[in-house]
Amino acid sequence: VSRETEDRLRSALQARTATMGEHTLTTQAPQYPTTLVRQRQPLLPRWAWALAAVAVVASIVAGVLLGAHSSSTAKENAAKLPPAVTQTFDSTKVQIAVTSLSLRGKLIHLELTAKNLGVEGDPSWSPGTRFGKSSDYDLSGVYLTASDGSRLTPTPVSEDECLCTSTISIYLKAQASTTLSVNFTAPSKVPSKVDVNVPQLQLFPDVPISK
Amino acid sequence: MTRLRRRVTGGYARPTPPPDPPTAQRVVSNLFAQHRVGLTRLALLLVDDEATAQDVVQEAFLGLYRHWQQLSDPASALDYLRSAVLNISRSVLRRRRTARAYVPRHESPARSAESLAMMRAEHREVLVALQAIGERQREVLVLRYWAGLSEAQIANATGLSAGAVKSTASRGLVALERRLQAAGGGSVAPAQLEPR
Repeated sequence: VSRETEDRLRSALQARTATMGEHTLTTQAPQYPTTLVRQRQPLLPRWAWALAAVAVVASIVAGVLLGAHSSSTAKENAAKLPPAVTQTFDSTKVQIAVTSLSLRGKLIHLELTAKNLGVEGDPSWSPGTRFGKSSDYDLSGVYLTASDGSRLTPTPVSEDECLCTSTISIYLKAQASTTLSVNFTAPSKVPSKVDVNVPQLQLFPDVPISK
Repeated sequence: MTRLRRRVTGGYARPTPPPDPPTAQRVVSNLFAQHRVGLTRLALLLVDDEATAQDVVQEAFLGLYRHWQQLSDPASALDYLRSAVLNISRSVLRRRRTARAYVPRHESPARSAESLAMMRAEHREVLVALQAIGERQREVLVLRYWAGLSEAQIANATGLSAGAVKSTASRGLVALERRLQAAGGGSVAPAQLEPR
C-alpha cells in the first residue's frame, strides 16, 4: 500500500468532518430518563418462593408417607444391616449380604447380594437349589423369625413357586455378583426387626425392617 | 449497544448501589459537552449522514447514562462511548440495508450542497471508495487514520484482537487502493455520494 493512499485517506476523512463543528450540531444533551438502570425484576415474588418451598417440603413428606422414597429412618436402618458373611460352597468362596429389608405395601421385601469371591480361572458358582425348599431353584427356603418366635415364609404364587428370584439360570463367574430377592406377606403387626434365615448360611440377626 | 452492555458489569445476584441520577447526569453531561463533536464526526464517517450521526451519538450517551451504575470503570467512559457509537452505527447501516431490500429506493438525505462544494473531487473519490469496502475495515481505517487511535485502543473499541486490527487495517488499505485504482482517479458525481 502506498504512502500516498494513506495520506489521501487521512486528508479525505479530515475534509469530510471539517464542516462539522459545534455550531452545526443541532442536538442538545439527551433528555435523561428519571431512572438510571432498568432494575431487573425478580423471577418470582417472595411469597411465591415461600409457597414453592412449602410445596417441595410437602412433596417430600408425601413421598415418604406413600413409600415413593425412603425416609431418614430407612437410611438409618440401612446402616444397621448385618455384615456380609462368607461361605465356601464346593471350594468356591461366596459372599452373601443382606442389602435391604423393607416394607412395601403388604409385602416385606428382602434383598440379598451374592458375590463369587473366586479369582480369575476359578469355576462359576450357582446358588442352584441351596436356598430353595425341597430342592427348588429359588429362595423358597429363606424365612424370617420375629422376636415372638413367629415365622414368616416366602409368599407363594402357586403350589411350587414363591414370589422370589429363580436361581435356575444364575451362574456367577469369579468376582461377579447378583441380587436375589424374596417377598414375605407382612403380618398385621409388622415387627421392627427380624432374624433372616438363609439355608446353609449362618443367621442374620436383628435385621431392621425399613418402613 | 450490545458491546456496551457486554462491557458493563453487574448481574442479577450482585447488589447494586442505589442510583444517583444527579451525579450521573452531571458527569454524562460533561462528557457530552466535551466529546459530542468528536463522536459525531466519528459517527458521520461511518453512517455518512449528519442527522443520523447525531442520533447515534445521542443514543450512545443515553445508553451510557442508563448503565452508569454498572460501569466497571467510570474513567473509561469514553471507550464505552466509542464502542457504542460503532455498534449503533453498525445497526443503523444494517437497518438501512434491510429497508432497501423491501422498500423502493427513495431520495435519501444527501449531503448539503455546501459540504459537497467544499469537498474536493479527490476526497470524494476516496470517501466513495471507503464506503465500498467492508464495514469492519472501514471502522478500523476511520479509527486509525481519522481518530488517530493506537492498535490497542482500536482493539478496545471494536472488540477485535490487536493482531486482527493490524491485519484488518492492512487489508482495508489494500482494498481501498484497489478501488481507487479502478476508479482511475476520475472525479465522482455527487449522486455517488449518497449515504449507504
